[in-house]
Amino acid sequence: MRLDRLGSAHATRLSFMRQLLRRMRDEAWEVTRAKLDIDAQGVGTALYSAVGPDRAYTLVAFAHDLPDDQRSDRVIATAWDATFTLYDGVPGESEIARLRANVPHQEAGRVSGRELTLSRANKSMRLWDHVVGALASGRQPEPERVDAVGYLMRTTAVYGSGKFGAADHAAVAHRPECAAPFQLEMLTVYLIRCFVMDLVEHMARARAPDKAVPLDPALRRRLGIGNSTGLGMAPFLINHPDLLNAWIGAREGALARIRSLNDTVPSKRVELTRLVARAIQNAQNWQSGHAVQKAKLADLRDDLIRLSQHLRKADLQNNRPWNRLWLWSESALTNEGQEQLLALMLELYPELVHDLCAFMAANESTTFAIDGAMSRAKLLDILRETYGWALTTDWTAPEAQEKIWYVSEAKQEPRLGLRNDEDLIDYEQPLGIGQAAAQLFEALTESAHETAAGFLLTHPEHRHMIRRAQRAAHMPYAEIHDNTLGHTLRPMDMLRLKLSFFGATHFDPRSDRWVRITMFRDAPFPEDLQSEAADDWTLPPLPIAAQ
Amino acid sequence: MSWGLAEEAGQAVAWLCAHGLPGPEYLATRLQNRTEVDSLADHPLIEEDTWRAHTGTLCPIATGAALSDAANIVSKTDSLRLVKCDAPFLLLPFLASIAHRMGVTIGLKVPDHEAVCSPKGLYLVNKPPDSVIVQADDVTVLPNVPIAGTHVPTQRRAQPTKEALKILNLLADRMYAPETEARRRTGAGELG
Repeated sequence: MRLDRLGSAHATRLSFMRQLLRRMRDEAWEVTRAKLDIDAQGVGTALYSAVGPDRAYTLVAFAHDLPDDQRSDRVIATAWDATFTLYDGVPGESEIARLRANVPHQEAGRVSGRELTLSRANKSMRLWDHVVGALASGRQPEPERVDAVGYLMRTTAVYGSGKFGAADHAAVAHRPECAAPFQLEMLTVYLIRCFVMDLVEHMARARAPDKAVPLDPALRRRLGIGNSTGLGMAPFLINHPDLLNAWIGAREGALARIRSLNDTVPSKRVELTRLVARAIQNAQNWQSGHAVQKAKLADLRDDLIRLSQHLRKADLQNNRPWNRLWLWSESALTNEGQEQLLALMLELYPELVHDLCAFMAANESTTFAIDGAMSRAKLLDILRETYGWALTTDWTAPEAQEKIWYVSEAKQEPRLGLRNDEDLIDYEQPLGIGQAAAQLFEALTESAHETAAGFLLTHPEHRHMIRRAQRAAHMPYAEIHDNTLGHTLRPMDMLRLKLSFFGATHFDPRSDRWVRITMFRDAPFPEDLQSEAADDWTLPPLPIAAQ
Repeated sequence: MSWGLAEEAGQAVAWLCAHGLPGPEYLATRLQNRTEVDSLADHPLIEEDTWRAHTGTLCPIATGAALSDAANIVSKTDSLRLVKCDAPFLLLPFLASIAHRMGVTIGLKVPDHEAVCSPKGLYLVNKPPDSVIVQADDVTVLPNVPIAGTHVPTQRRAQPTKEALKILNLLADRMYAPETEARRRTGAGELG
């Protein structure tokens, strides 16, 4: 649960995008474009419906003509190339009119309990113009340029549960398709991808009705949806310990099951070798200009070569082969390579992994109440056990608490400042869990109260940490075992873990605090969901010659 | 108010709204009345079966949390008396939590109003008050009472009044750090 490990995570079979598309495949969901009413300037409305066994969802998309100088990925933007909401059911004209008056304004508008998500996206100008231009002149865009960017539009926010008037997650949590985390947000992005592909072809046709050609299906599939994510997402992992525990627990469970296999069939070696080749290709396509990520990518590429060489001679058949491979990786590979290997091992055994997806949600209300009868001695034991690293940290050292989490007045978003900016102290958010654990330990040690309830009567300031500690006592993966205030903190690590669980790929940090990624890149479109390889898209396919 | 109690306040308001009661209005009323900041003055001082504030009136969030923390004791008590409590309906979510966890009923009596929390939900003996009960001199918590009154159905959407929202938003604004040019440039990592 160290940040440098969490910050090396890769998408796996457990990722929420994979879970969504598997469900849509297994339940034969029907996705249709119900409307594409866009003018030659690219302004208008589109509707995409996704119909499952019990109910329908509709992506309501508004396309806008955004001047280039207004295009911003930052949360402070007020206009976008396209805005979206996911409607619960099929909206009528009056509903669409209501949404048209609100959705384009995003945070400044208001949606209702019929809406499940709220989102917006901007074009990648370096690719959009190239693709529209090429298609309008009857050509396909250059594959290298498609690969270099990987998306035509990137979302800059996908708001869910209860935000800006949207339905609370509790309202839909009982639906099977909403049981896994973030399924409606993932569905929103998946449908946005369909819309963007239609829009780019529509714009090419509008420019040259006689000459324009559709996008080649192979190129089309290589395009995902980009996303630009900043600090707003980082505190999530700290604020939702039950979920973090469930996600990492599923990952650990899957790895343990595979490591415990006594033997394998020879075809698994072939399969893994092919997956490593795809991972190598993926790592080569994965570009970033950020120094830390560049070094991590270099590590990953080296690791994958080392893994590939090791696989040629390793005995992968008997005597707990995956356990031995994993132990080898722990000494031979960096965190990047180990985490990639974990993802590849999970690819080999869907039958050992998929049922764990059912345990990746959490009902946080069941762990909210504090057990006041818990003894002081027991609390101290939990703190020693779970927060031992924090109890040995010197929290008086400036570098140990250099950073401070606060929420900005301008956009009410989490931000990271420096503690020596003294005006921020009064605004500090409770995200320094290690420090809070150490403070609680000290106060409990000095206290004469023998129960949590008694202690809290005079120490309400420790209530937040006692709740966490009691949760962590029976949730081994609920806490990040690292300093989230220190000099070395890279919020990027927290973003990477969460986005990997989403199923994102191609992390391209722009600083240690915000990152561009792609989602659903190489994923099947709805019409291909029934194909054999519909669940095998996290890594790009090998070129035909290499297969 | 500490973060841990703020979490309790949030949960309590959501619970009241889910039961059609004016949670935001109760919280707004309570927070507006709050005079002691960062002190234990409005937290409960326990003398056998009587709980009272160190000074002034009891904070229903701190008191509710303390009742919840002592669920194992409270659920076995005949009755508890709370002397002078602000916005006493804010105690209901905490009593409901005890009822749910301990599998018991717990009644709440304030002048002219009576409610029962049970593992099956909330029951109101009288119709909900027309306006927020700002303060009650005498509040009684009655574990293991028979269920009485009308079952309150749960709902999904809150209908806060504009006034309550305005008060709560003004208070929430105090948590947000003013933007400065330096913070704007570095806080989100633009230059990182």
